[in-house]
Formats: sequence, structure tokens, C-alpha cells
Amino acid sequence: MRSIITQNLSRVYKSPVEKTGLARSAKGLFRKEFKYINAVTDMSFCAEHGDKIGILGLNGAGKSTLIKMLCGIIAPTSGSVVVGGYTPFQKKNDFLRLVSLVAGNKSQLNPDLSAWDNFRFLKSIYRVPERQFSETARKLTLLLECANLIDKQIRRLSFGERIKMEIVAALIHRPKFLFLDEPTIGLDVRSQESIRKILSDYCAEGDAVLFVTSHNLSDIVDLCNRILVIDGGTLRYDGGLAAFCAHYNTTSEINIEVENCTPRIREIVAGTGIVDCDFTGNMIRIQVEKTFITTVFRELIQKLSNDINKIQIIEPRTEDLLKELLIKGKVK
Amino acid sequence: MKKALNLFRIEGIFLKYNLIAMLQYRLSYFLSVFYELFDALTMMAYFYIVFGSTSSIAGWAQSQIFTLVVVSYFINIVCVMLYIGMTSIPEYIHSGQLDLLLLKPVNKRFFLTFRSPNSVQILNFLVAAVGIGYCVAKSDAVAINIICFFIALLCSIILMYSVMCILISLSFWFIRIGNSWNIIELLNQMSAKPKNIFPMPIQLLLTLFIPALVIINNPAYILHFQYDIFLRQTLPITVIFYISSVIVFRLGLKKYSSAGG
Ligand SMILES: Nc1ncnc2c1ncn2[C@@H]1O[C@H](COP(=O)(O)OP(=O)(O)O)[C@@H](O)[C@H]1O
Ligand SMILES: [Mg+2]
Repeated sequence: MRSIITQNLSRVYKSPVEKTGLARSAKGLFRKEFKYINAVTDMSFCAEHGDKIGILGLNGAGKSTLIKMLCGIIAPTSGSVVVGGYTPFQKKNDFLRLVSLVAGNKSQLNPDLSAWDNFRFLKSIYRVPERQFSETARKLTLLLECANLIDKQIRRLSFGERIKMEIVAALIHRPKFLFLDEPTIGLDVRSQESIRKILSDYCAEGDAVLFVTSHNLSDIVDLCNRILVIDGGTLRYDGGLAAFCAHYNTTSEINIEVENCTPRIREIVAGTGIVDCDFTGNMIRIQVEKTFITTVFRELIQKLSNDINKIQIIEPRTEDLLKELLIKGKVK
Repeated sequence: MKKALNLFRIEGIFLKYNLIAMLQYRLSYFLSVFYELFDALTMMAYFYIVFGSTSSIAGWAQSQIFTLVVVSYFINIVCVMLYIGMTSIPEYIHSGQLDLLLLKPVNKRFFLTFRSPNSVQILNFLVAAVGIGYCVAKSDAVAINIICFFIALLCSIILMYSVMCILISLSFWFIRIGNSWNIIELLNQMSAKPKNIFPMPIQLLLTLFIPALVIINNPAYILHFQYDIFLRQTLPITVIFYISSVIVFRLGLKKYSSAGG
């Protein structure tokens, strides 16, 4: 069964053009001008239970807008979206019981209550059975190492501590569709890791569909088995993370450390079938097409065997690869 | 029926957790009890100073004017106790915090408007209720007037809710809507006077457009004078405003385009 289907999903924002300067602002009082922003354009994709999808894109690419349409906060301008058999924007209660959203910059917790009271409040709202509630809450807070903070008023928690509580709160009713918009923004490495652990455990347990947007590419690499790459509101890539890397990761790097970088060595290096190279002191970094890597490697060892101190092949980390692809806009 | 019961259940949850928050953490909530009480006392003092020497104004005896003041206090307290929290909705719309609140499996209008009550006002509520009881006991009204009076009070509460709901929903369109609560409070204080002292156009304005007179004046009028105004004014106006509030809120939610992040 397909649990999420979108077809030609688009969202246009209409927003007033802000005028600068007194005279122009005053004029704007009488005649408002609007501009239209195509935040999401013509997106079609499907997702099934067990999918863990990372949404990648630069600022303003339309990631949050897509998530807001998927969980029903805003309506699409055109196209359709079906989640778990429901149209999200109708906000049927049965649908809402299936979804949860965590947004790093928004809070669903009452700042005047303790985390525990907040959880109990949500338990009553979602009518979660007592057993399931205490099990979930206890387990999650232990894993997130925040069990000792549970009686503290939310407004007294640090940002990172609060986000952890937000995540626990979002999982209390065991949603089938979990949406996370920049969940680890502003967290330290250790907290990021525990949050990722919780989320991947949660997905492994049930068969929830997970959507994550994050600037922290390690989140995506750790959590997701599939990515959507968005650029300027359009979907550029939809598929497995591994396939994505295989497709775009066409070069590898060979690092050589030599005794002394003589012109002869430079000549030999330039003569092998390389894409690009960079000499710094006695370090040489060579970019080679993946398909030729063995040939080039063998050739270098043969010709430079007396000069080489150390030679190694470096596979780019997935994060770096993703970053480079996003920034250089290579994804077409 | 089941739906209504569920709403009562959820209102209970709101009050319970609000009380927890107040008891544990916030002295300022308790101060608000005294603030409201003080407000009511000032209003009464005002009446006794201004009208104390006259035995009647525009056909209303002193005790009847007293009913007006008590009704105004009562409505105000019920409103503050149950749905004052809705005044922060414009801020939520502006900042995009509304997003997460919209995802709760509860009727959206109910959830957003009743979400943060002010439960310690129960103290003021009790005082006001005693005041209402006193006014009814002192009046020489017959059964039908008294029954209509209580139903009219209920209508006033609903009407007040509807007016606030409409005002607040407007912020879906006009992000920067001022503090509408102040306007309402002002109107309430204004309309806790015998309505005949206002010129006719103002009476009409305060009945049909901003129904402050219907909310405060009509219950007292029904108790002490004629109850037929209940059917002629209170009931139809309440129904119209309530339905409008539902519609405006729905349209507003459709219009909501979120913000931030
Ligand atoms: N509520 C809104 N009103 C008007 N424009 C918006 C609104 N929300 C987002 N936008 C615009 O839509 C585009 C996509 O925004 P968003 O989905 O938040 O991007 P991302 O989350 O990928 O950074 C941006 O150009 C942004 O300025
Ligand atoms: Mg975003």
C-alpha cells in the first residue's frame, strides 16, 4: 500500500511587497502590490511504510512548505496530496492522530508546565492508554538522557533540552507519519546522536514513515534511506541515498606524500589520466575518475615507487558529497 | 452528544492543567483574581458615587442598575475564566506557532479558543454567582422572567465568545490587529448602564454591530422589565453572531499560510 502520494503538488504564496522609504510606504497604504512566490512546484512522489526520507535543499528551497502541506497545516494551491488515505488539509481527527510534527523553531509544549505534565496533557488529548503512555515516556526520556529534567518547567530548560522534550512529546501517541523540520538545529553532537538513535529506533519498531529536513547532513546520512533533493521549489532527485551517491560520486581522490615534490614528479602525475590535481608542499591530491582509479593508481606506484612515502585512496564522505552537490547546484 | 461530552472532557483537561501551572509557578495569575475583583468593585463604587443620590435613571431603579453591574462582572469573569486565552491567537498566527496547535485531534476552534483558560477566576466566578443570586432574589420578577434571564445570561456568554472569536479571526487576514480585548472591555464598561441613556443610533450600533448592549443590558432588562426582548433580540442576535464566528474562523483557517521556518 502506498501511504503517501502527491501529484503535481504546488504551493504559491501571495505576499505583499514591502515598500521602503516613507513616501513609498505611504503609497502602499492605498494600493497594495503583491508578489507571488512559487515555494513548491509540481512535485510528484510516493512513499511507503518504512520509508525514511531526507529532504535536502538550500534555504528557501521549499522544504518546510512541502512538510506543512504533507501534515495539513497549509493547503496546496494546486495538485493533490494524500497521506494515509486522508487529504491532510481537511484535518480529520483520525488523520491527525496518525501524524506528528517537530519543528526546531516551534514549540508545542506549554512553557508554564513541567515536561511530565505536558506529556500527560497530550496523553489525555490523544487518549493514549495509560500503559502505553508510561512505557513510551519512560523509555524515551531515558534514552534521551533527560529523565532527570522531567519535572522541570519547560521555560527553565535549555534549548537542547527542550527539543528533546519536543521529540518525546511528538512520539507519545505513536504517530505513523513523523515529520521533522530541522530537529537538530542548534544541538551539540551528543544530543544530535541520541536524537537520531531514538528516531531510527522508533522507525525500526513500527513501520512509520519519516520525513526529515536538516542542514545537518549527518542527520540525513544516519537516518534516511531515501532522499528528495529540492532546488527552487522543484524536485531534482528522488531515490535511494546510496544510488544518489553512486550516480553523482564519479571521482575519487588519491593522496600521495612524497619526499620532495620535484618538477619531474609533477610531470608524471599530470601525465596520468587524472581529472584535477593539487600540490601543497610535499602533499599531492589527485582527483581521478572512478572507472580509471586502479589504472592510475598502478601507474603512479610504478613510476614514482622511489619517491612515495605514503599513498592512499580517499572515498569522499557522503555528507561532503551531498554538500558539494547542493552548493554547486550539480544535481540536474 | 458524544462529541459534546468529549468537548466537556477536554475543557476539564484544559482547566486541570491550567490550574497545575498556576498553582506551581505563577503568582501573577493570582494577582489577576484581585485585579478583576478590584475592577468590579471600582465599577460599583462609581455607580454609587454618580447615581447614589438619584433614586432612578432613565426608568431604572438603583437596584436594577446594580443588576447591570453584577451582570457585567459575571460575563466578564466567565469570559476571562474560560476563553481569555484566545487573545494570544493573533500572536500565534503572526509567528507561525499556530502550526503545531492545528495538528491536535480536537475541534480546532474549540481547541484554540479554550486552550489556555484562567482557572483561578473560579473565585471571582463564585462571588459573581452569589451576586447574581442576590439580584434575582431581591427582584420581584416572576418565573418566566427569571428563566429567560438565565437563558439570556447563557446567550450573553456565547455572544461574547462569538464576538471575540470574530475579532480574533480577523488576524488571519490582517496580521497586525491591535489589542481587540481592550476594545471589548471598554464597550462592556460602557454598556453597563441603562440603555435608554444612549441616543438611538448608538443603541442600534451597540445592539446590531457590536452587540455589547445585548450582552450586558438585555439580561438585566429581561429580569426587571420585559422578557420578550429575549426572543426579539438576544436569541436571534446570538445565533447570527455565533454562526458568523464559525464561518469567519473557518475561512481564516483556510487562509492561514503559516510563517517562519
Ligand atoms: N508564509 C509565507 N508567506 C510568504 N512566503 C513564504 C512563506 N513561507 C515561506 N515563504 C517563501 O517560500 C519559499 C520557501 O520557503 P520554505 O519552504 O520555508 O523554505 P526552506 O524550508 O526550504 O528553507 C521561500 O522563498 C520563502 O520566502
Ligand atoms: Mg525550513
